[in-house]
Amino acid sequence: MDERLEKALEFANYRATLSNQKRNIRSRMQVLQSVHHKGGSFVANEVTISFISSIIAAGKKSAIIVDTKDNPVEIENLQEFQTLLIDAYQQASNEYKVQMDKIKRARNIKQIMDW
Amino acid sequence: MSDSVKQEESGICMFAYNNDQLDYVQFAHIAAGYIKAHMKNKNTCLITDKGTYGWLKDSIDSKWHSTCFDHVVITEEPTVNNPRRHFDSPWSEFTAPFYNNNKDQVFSYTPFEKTLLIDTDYIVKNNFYDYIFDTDIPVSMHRTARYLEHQLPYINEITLSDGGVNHWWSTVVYFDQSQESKMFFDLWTHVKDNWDYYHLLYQFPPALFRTDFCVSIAAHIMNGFNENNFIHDFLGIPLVNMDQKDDLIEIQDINSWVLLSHNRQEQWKNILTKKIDTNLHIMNKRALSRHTPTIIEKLQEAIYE
Repeated sequence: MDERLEKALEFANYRATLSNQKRNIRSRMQVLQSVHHKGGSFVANEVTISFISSIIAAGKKSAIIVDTKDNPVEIENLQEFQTLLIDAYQQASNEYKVQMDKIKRARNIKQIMDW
Repeated sequence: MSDSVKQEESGICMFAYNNDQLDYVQFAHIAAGYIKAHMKNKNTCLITDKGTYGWLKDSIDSKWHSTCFDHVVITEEPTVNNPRRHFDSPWSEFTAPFYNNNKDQVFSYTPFEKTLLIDTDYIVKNNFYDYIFDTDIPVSMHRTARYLEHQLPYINEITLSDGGVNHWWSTVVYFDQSQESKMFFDLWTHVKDNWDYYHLLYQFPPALFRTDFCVSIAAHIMNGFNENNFIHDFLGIPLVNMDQKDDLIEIQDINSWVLLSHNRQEQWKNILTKKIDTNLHIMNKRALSRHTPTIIEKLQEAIYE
């Protein structure tokens, strides 16, 4: 095989592997961001955290929040809920950063796989 | 709640009936070892038959067995032989009997008030499922799945037929001992007993008895013949499936596995993928068998420490 083509195909394979590995890391982050609280399903993302923080800033201590399944969920202690969301978000984003940093430096498939 | 009082509050159950091709009881010990390594609710129960249990006693170290399982329930030997075609990579295939016709009886077999039933080829590499034991949810299963390159499942794993009802996965089933759970399992048994009728009604191929189809019909009925959310879907998190044509390449440590993903559309393409801390449904059982000694060695290092 033409060496130029061989190198290009190897690079294509590396890019496909890298792209899939990034999706693996993102889907792991989604799992870590999933929060179940008071019977409701929530995602600990920027939107949810900001929304809860806004309600707290408006002086509310409890509220009815609509979850990802469109169910109204009574949150009696918003502060506690906010802490739960922030903890989940931080754990997920820390994990995301650590794993992304690892593969960012990987220049070939062997390095992506830690071989 | 049901009339019977269970021995323990929470735990994980799995069925293992060996055949002449696959050592399910060995897989069960791996799955249980992972539960012990990662979950807070880690009481475990093996449901098996006398023959398989005899093989377990001969083939598995007693310390390892008692580390992995807190309870063993011995059932009648399964009688319905459900032959299933397996692949081991795209280049090798074999047929083996698959005994799954009493999975619906787990409601009475379980020694736990709150039970997570997992298949023996399901590897739990994190504590995701612990949250559900703190809820009042009666029944939960995964509604969606993805394969190693995040592809959607096959069409008949999304809906039972073209335009049909949602497919739910029986690979992981959480349930409590409530009346609603009992109704779910009774319905599962009813669908099993009337398989010929339900395959015509829901338009799926009848040849292979699949518990996924039974639970999908039960979920459809209990959701009010609708896409309701009475059956909890584990926060919408998809099951991660390793297909039978994928392969397991290396066990780097107990939570870091390197796999080879086979592209079903463009079959000449295979890429490596590394799954870290991710729960995995290992459909290529032979691949799991090949790596069993390494997995057990690494698990024992982690658990016995």
